[in-house]
Amino acid sequence: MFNLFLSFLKIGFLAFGGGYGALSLIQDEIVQLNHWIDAETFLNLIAIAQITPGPIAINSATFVGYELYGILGSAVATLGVIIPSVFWLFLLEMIIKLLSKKIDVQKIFFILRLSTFSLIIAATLRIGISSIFSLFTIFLFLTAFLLLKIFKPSVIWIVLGCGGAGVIYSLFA
Amino acid sequence: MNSLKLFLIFSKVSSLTIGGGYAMIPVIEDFLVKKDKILNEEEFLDIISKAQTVPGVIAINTAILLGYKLCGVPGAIAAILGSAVPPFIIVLIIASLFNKFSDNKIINGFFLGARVGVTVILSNLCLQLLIKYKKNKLSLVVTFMGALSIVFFHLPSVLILFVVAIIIIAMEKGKKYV
Repeated sequence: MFNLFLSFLKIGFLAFGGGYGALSLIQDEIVQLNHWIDAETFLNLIAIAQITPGPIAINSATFVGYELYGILGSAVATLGVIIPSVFWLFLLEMIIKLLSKKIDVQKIFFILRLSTFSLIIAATLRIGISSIFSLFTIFLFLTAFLLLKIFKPSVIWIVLGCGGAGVIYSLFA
Repeated sequence: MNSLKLFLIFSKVSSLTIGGGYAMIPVIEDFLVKKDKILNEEEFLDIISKAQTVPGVIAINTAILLGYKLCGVPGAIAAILGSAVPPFIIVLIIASLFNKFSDNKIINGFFLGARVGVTVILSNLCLQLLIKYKKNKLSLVVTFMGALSIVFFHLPSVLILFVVAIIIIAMEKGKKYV
């Protein structure tokens, strides 16, 4: 359980750009490195995190922690992902006070966020490759993307709508 | 404003907003700036930009900064609890149900579709970021190659995060960033 805590602590420390940027880190830690859950359960978990209220990183931590060690595990993982925030914010205040004249703190963080974009693309590709594999899923992807662009609904409707289409498909296919 | 009220505001925000930290920002603004007028627009924006600058859960960063500003350390703790506890309980309930029904045909059908939905949301996010960073063309190429090396060569995300950052710094030295 200590490893679970350390993993989520690491995720919290490196999650430049919030939850979506953390997805790739979370996948590395819990699927690739530690094999705590398999790739498919991970994808379901991400879908659940999207349709339940709350920050994505917190929701994933709770879910993975629960899968591994029950309620205590989910508390430990959630705590792990929260603690680095305190550290970073404290550090930011100090850096701004001490160094803002010598180095451009904003610029360094801007570059780190730009760099996080590669993690977001990686997460998108990984999730896309394992989710879109048949004629039905390609069709659903294109339709949903188009609807998102035209009507700009909240993301929950996209996930629930696609889920509904999946249910209908699995009942009749 | 006391800690209890902060806790209640942040619990409301976190139990009502779906879609992560970015979705919470306008709702928090609604409560603290528009409805209760505890903060002015400028103070709020300053906090939001700090919360997005450092790593971590954006909603938690925002909670810490706002809670601390309004009520000191107890305020920060109250705001953290408010934004973490309700989602925590909701996900716990779902996770415990999930194991019981994971062999169900309808549930599996739902996830087959829902995962496509997640891909749609992420692709759209990539598109938006691509537009946002379109001035930094070379950096975007490096970013994209970084992503490919994570997916196809299974390099660790942490390594890519810093390697890409270092290459961008070296490449675009002296350039202005927006």
